[in-house]
Order: sequence, then C-alpha cells, then structure tokens
Amino acid sequence: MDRPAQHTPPRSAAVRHKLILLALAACTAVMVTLSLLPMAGGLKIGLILLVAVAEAGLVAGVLMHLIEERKLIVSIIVLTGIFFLGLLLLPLLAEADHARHFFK
Amino acid sequence: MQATAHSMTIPHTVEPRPDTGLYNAKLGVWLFLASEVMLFGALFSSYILLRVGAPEWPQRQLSIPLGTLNTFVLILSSISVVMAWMALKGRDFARFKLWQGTTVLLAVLFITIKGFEYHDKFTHYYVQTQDGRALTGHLDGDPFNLSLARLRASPSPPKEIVFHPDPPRAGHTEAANAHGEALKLELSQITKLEAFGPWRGTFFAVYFVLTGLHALHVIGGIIVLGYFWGPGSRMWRTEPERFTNRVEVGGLYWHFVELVWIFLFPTLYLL
Amino acid sequence: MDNASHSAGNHHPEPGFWRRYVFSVDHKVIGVQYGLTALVFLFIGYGLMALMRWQLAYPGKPIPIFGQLLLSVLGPDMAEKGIMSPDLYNSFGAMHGTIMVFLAIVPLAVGAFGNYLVPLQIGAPDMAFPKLNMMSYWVYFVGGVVMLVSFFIPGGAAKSGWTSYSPLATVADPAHHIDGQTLWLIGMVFLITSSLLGSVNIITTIIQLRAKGMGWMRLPFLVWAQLVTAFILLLAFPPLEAAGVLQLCDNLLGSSFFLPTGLVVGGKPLEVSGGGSPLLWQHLFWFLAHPEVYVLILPAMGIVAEVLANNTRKRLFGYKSLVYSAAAIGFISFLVWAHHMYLTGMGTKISTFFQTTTMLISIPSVIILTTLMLTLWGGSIRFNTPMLFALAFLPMFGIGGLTGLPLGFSATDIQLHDTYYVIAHFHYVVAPGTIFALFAGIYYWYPKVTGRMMNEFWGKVHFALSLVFMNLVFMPMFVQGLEGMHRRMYDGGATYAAGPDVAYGLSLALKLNVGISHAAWLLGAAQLPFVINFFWSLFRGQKVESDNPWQATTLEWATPTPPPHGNFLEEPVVYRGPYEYTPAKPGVDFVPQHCQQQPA
Repeated sequence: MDRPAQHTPPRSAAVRHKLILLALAACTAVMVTLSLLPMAGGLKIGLILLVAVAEAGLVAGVLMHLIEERKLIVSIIVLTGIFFLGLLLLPLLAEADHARHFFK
Repeated sequence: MQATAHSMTIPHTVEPRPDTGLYNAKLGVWLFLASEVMLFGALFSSYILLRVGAPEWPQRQLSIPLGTLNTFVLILSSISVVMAWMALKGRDFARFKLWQGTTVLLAVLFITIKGFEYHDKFTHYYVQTQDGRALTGHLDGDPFNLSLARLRASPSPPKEIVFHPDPPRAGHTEAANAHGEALKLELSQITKLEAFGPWRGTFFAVYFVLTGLHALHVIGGIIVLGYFWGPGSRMWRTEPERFTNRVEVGGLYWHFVELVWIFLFPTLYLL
Repeated sequence: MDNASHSAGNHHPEPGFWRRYVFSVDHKVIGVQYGLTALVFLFIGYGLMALMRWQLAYPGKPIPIFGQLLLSVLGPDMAEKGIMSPDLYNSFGAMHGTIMVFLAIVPLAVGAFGNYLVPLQIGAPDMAFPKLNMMSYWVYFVGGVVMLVSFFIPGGAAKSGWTSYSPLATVADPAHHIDGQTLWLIGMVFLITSSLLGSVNIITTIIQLRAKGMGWMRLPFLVWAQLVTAFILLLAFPPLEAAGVLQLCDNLLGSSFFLPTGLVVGGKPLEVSGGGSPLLWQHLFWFLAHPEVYVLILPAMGIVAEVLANNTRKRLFGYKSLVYSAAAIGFISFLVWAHHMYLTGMGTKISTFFQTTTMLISIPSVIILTTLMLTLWGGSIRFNTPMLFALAFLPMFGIGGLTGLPLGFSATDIQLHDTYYVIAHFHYVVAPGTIFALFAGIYYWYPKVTGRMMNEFWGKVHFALSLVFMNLVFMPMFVQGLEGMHRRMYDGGATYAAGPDVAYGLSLALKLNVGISHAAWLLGAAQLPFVINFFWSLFRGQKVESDNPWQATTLEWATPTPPPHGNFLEEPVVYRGPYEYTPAKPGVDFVPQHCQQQPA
C-alpha cells in the first residue's frame, strides 16, 4: 500500500489539493465558456467533451489515486472501458447502417 | 457441529494481500464502480441514440448558472472527502470530522439545488388550445405538476385558468417571475396541459432519469458518508486502520459520483 | 480424516436458530439456501411449461385438473371454462423464460454451486464479504416473490416474452396502470442487484482469499469458470438495469424512451410524446442477455470438468486451453449481441461485424468441448450417476452449440429467426446441457454437504429417463422450426393449418406437438425419482465412510463432512495442481492438492 500522499508532508499535500481544485474549477469554467461561443455543433460537442474527459481524468487519476494504483485495478477499469465504448458506439453504428436513412 | 475450523477471520480485510497490494474492500469497491460505469454508460448510450435520432433537440432548457454552481459544489466535496481520509491517515480525528462533515453538507446542498431545479420544471407548463395555439409558461400560484384530468376532476373545476406565457425567447429562465402578460384561458378551450416532466419529450425523459439516478447516488453517498461521520466513527477507537479503509472506500464511491456529474453537466446543460 | 473434537475455548456463543439457518452469513448455508430456492423455481418454471404444452397439443381444450384450478384462482379472463386464454399463454411463456433463466438456473449455477464451492476449492474460510453474501440471497428472494406475486394481480403476469420488447411491453395491458410488466421490471431490479453484489463477492474472494500455494494455474477449472461468469454478470447486467428503469418510466410516467412517434394502439393514437426507439430497448436488453447465456453455460462446464477429471482418474486434457478459452468466451460475449437483431433492418456492414464476432466465439466453445472429450481418452472411467450426467452433457451441448451456427449466420437466420428452431437450439444447451451438469453437481457434492450418498440405482433411472425424454421433447422442435413454425403462438400454429394450401411439412410439424407434449410430461414424471431420492437420502442414504468418498484431489474434500464454520481444520497449503490422478494405477491413484508428500 504505497501511496505517496502518506509520505508527503501535510503542507505539500494541501498545495496539491488546492492545485487540483483550481484545475477542476478551470475545466468547468472552460466548458461553460465554450458552450456560449458561436461555433459549429460538432466542433463544440467535441471540444467540450474533450475538456470533460480531461477533468474526469484528473478526478480518476489523482483524487482516486488511479495513477498510482495497482495493475489489477487499472486492468479492470480498462476492460470496463472497452465494453463501455462498445456499448456507446455499436448501437450507434447499427443505427447508422440501418436499411433506411437515419441521420438527418 | 463437531469440528471447529482453525480460523474464522477473513484475511486481508485490513492488511493488504502482498501479491495484489489491496485490501478486500478496495478491490470490492472498484469492481462495484466498474458496474456503475456500465450502468451510466447505458444511459449515456440511450441519450446518444435518442438525440441522434431526433429531428430536433431542445436546447438551453436548464439553468446553466445553477448547474455550474452544483458542479463547483461537487468539486469542493471531492476535495473535502480526500482531506477527510488524509486526516485519518495522519491520525487527526478532529480534522476528519471537520472534512467529512463538510462533504456531507456540500452533498446536501447539491440535492437542495437539484430539488429547486426539479421544482421549477414541475411548475412550468405546456398548454395547447383548440384554436391551435401552443404556449409555455407558468400558472397563477405555481401549482406543482397539475394535469388537465386532475383540474377537470376537482370538486369545483374553475371556468378558466390564468396563464403567464414565457417571454418570447428560446428556452426560459429559472426565475418563476420572469413572466409575460397574464392570459385568461377557458378550461373548455384547453386540449392539452402538462408540466415539463419526463412525458414532455425524450430530452426531459433522459434529463430526469440521468439526474434522478445520479441524485439517488448522491443520497446514498450522504447516508454512507454521514454514517461514517456519525455512529460509524466509533470504530476509530477500536480498529483505526479498518475504519480508515472504510472511509477511503466511501471516498472512492463519492469521487465516482462526481465523475458521473462531470459528464452529466455538459451533456444535459451545455450541449 | 476424522473430525476434531469440540475445542475447549469457544470465543463466541453459539448463534441461535435464525442466525444459523435463516440469516446466516456462512457461505455454505447461503449456498444451500440458493440451491433449494432455485430448485423450487425450477419446478415452478417447469409447471408453467407443462400447462402451456397442453394448449399446444390440444388447442382450445380445457386443461384436466389444472384448468379448474386456474379458473378459480385467476378468473374467467385468463382461463374461462378451464381453457388457457391467449393472454394466459403469453404470461406463462414470458414467465417460464424469466423464471428459468433468472430465478432457477443462474441462482443454482452461481448462487448455489458458486457460493458453496468457491471458498472451499480455493482454501478460504468464507467469502470476502459474508454479510453482503447474505444480503444477496435475500434480495434475490424478494425479487422472486415479486415475480410470483405478479401472477395474481389484475391483468396477470408480464406477457411480452422474457425479452419484454417495447412497445408491446408498455401497451400490453392498457387497463391497468401497474401491471404484470411493472412488477416484472421491479423484480428484475432486485434480481440484478442481487447478482451484482454476488459477483463483487465472488471476484474479490477468488483474487484475495486463495490459500498459500494456490497459484492461478493451480485453481480447479470450476473456479476459473465462476470467475469469468462473475465478470460477465458484473459488467453486462447494469445496462439491463438501466433499460428496466427506462421502461418503468415509459410504463408509469408516460415517457417515450422506447415508444416511437405516431404509435397507434387499438385504433387510437397513443398519447405520448413519441420520439423513442424500440431498437434502443433491444440493444440494451441483448447487451445483457447474450452474455447471460454464457453465464448459463460456463458454471456447467466447470462442474463437468471436475466430475470428468475425478471419474476418469486422470488430469484434465489441456488445462491452459480451458482457462484461456473461458476467458476468451467471457470477453467476446460482450461483442456479439446484435445477432439477435438481424431482422431489425440492420445493414450488411454491421450485421457482418456481429456475424464475425459470433463465429469467433464458437472457437473457444469448441475448444472447451473438445478438450473435455479428449480428457476421456486413456482414462479409467467410473460410470456413476454424476459421471453419466457429465458424459451426456458433452454430446447434448455439442448439438446445442452446433445448431447455433445457422442462427449466427445472418443469411440463414432470416429463415430461422423466431421459429421453434431457436427454441430447440437454446433448450438443448440449457436443458440437457446445463441442467444435466447441475444434476451431475448435485449427485457429486451431495455427500460433502450432507454426509450421505444419494441412491445410485435411482440416480441412474433418473438419468436414463431424463436423457431419453429431453431428446424426445427438443429434437422434433428443430423440424418444426425448419418448417417455419413460429414461436410464441398460443394455438401451437393451428392457424397455419387453417389455410387450404398447408404444406405437408408444416402439417407434420404441427402434428409433432402432441408427441412433444407427452414427452414433456413424461420428462416431468422422470424427475420424481430425483426428488424422492434427494429427500430420502438425507435421512436414509448410505453414510460416507470418509471425508473424500470420490477420492478426489481438490480442496473441498479436505474438510470435515459437512465442513464447519471456517471450513478447514488446519490452514490449507497447496503443493500441486488440481487434478493429480494417475490412471490405471492400482491402489491409491491420486494425490490431493494439499498433500505435501506422495502417499506410499
């Protein structure tokens, strides 16, 4: 159970957490700002989701210690991620390849 | 029973197993979170399919300021829950109580704001009249989730209702008093009257299910984190490492709840 | 190996009756609870089908004895004059499938065998989370009660197939707001929750609580099968839970997740917002329901592997292949689901994708079957009852698996989809497949649980009759399906016979209904020796002379009989693989896993 936070003196842990807080807040602010700017629909969705993924990465990687977690946990999450993507993409592809015209 | 086993204690509840480096509950909670990823994944998949298949998709239906506020509330609670666990690792019980309590209070604040948002939807109405008008707005007195059937079935049904249409702009604001002029509509002329609940359209259906299920998870978190703050914290005196592990596991669950919101917020409020 | 005497210093008082037998946290008690409850549901599921088979053989005729019972309990809407109404037939059909899959087979294969055997076979004192284990059982129990209660509410039980396709599932019972489908969905939420909690427990137990020396490649294959099964349940069930919540909203709150725009029911347009997608339900449902079938078969393969190794007195052939194949099946199973949706208008590109993954998954399945068969070569075979069931599993699963291939190809599936061919295919895999393996397991581990053997003669009678009647029930269904006879028709396809140009083949198919029904009833009768044997042997069965009556090698046989709370008298240490047998060696031809030295 080697977690760097355990060995980090309290002051730098506090600094680390303040940085994370700022980073997460900044990501949120960027998302809201992007949504208010005029741009093409697809581009907007892509950029906002990219920021969301970054923010989620910070929470999962740092706050949930996934970065320093054991291989077993990470492999379970990766496996889940593969099936998650399959669930997200395959029905969409099935609809796109439908016998009738689907996308407007 | 004639025989007694050599041991009945479950190994690795507190001290980690050397080859995996984990204690049991840590592995258990990550497995549970994996299943939750698939649960919310299915709902996001549904959202994508429904939106892509819809000829038009309502936008700006939700209050971005309130949603952003709630996002900050959860971000703060995510930090405070980690501080709570770190306090225990540093053997500071008082600080743990402070940070864990903060987390629970922030969670309660989140639910309160969400409740306010829901209330707003159920006091916002869509009305259709026989002469082909379709309006959205509020009713006098802001009744909660009134339906035409219930109005007509009431002991003394009113002849007409006072309707305050929304100002002519895409979507509506969260303040209930941003009304247009009052309109008197005869009950007999109304063909449809419904609040903005899940029946209003697939956007609202998906909104209520996604945020509703998320809110249930927040409430679950309040119960669990609150239990560890309160009666469960007695374990600190007898088994401090086991208690610290429990708080860590609770914190991991709480981070996941925040993770879901990180995707919920832009999906429903911003896109 | 004799039982140790009572230890002098008990550090906690003996629990009372309720804590010990009803609300126990001991995995063995919970395993037995799951087993007995599941067997009751197996009987109920069979009963539903037995009644349906009367309607199929003699459409429109009153059911003897049970017809009056149904009429008095469910009323004339369901069983006027003792004749099964179409609604009742559909309810029975939907609930037969639901009960068999979710309340009988999986709880028996995973809840009973998994719970009882996994901690024992890995050398652990119990599951990683004993209290969670107990909760899993009671949540399953509540889910089962909800499902059964649904028969008795106005409108009756769910009647839109176990697949509950929307929009039918939402509009099937317009007269009642809370209908059988609502209870089905609520019941499913309970069952899925129970399953999820159980999977977390099994996976954590296998990873964290293996005894010293129990490396991954020394695990009995049953444990590997349970591990893969638990992962499938963990990751595949949640989307169905989500879909269930969405359908509940459609049914209760008037949303339109799965209701398309412009739906007209009974001549009137449905007053909903529309905009939903019936295909969305199908994607979410089959995302679980396909991996679910591997949940049905993998524990069975695990049981068969154990029984085969023990009764051939030799190591399993290709242990590594078995393990990798099981893992491959688990992984690929998540990527094949839309082969149930070939006829929904999917284009050729995506159909080819799913067809390819479906063909791919047949490879590890065949590898498993072949390695099990090759285990028999050169073995010293003992033909006891568990072995007979395990042996029969092989060709029966072979037939079931091979007949899946024409269904997996999108071109041939056009002819076969939703016909009796499908019913024959999946029943072959589950009925003379999985259920035979579960019977093998019951006969095999009964002596460890109870300390007595089940009667061998009646076991063999049960086996022979079941084998014959299973085949007489399901083999003709392939013929019916190939002739185009559709499934779920309450009159057994009699409407086909009404036309003037009924092909000879189809009329033959319809005539087969009578023979199939009689075989089905005889199959039920053939289970009586098993039920009697099961209970009689508890009190009068031959007592075992040792803790290891089958002379097996795995750790569960290294405990007292029955195993005490905590399982092992000494901490088990594992020195060798799980199947160290030496066939055709006179005298002692095996070395248990926990034995350090070879016995003299």
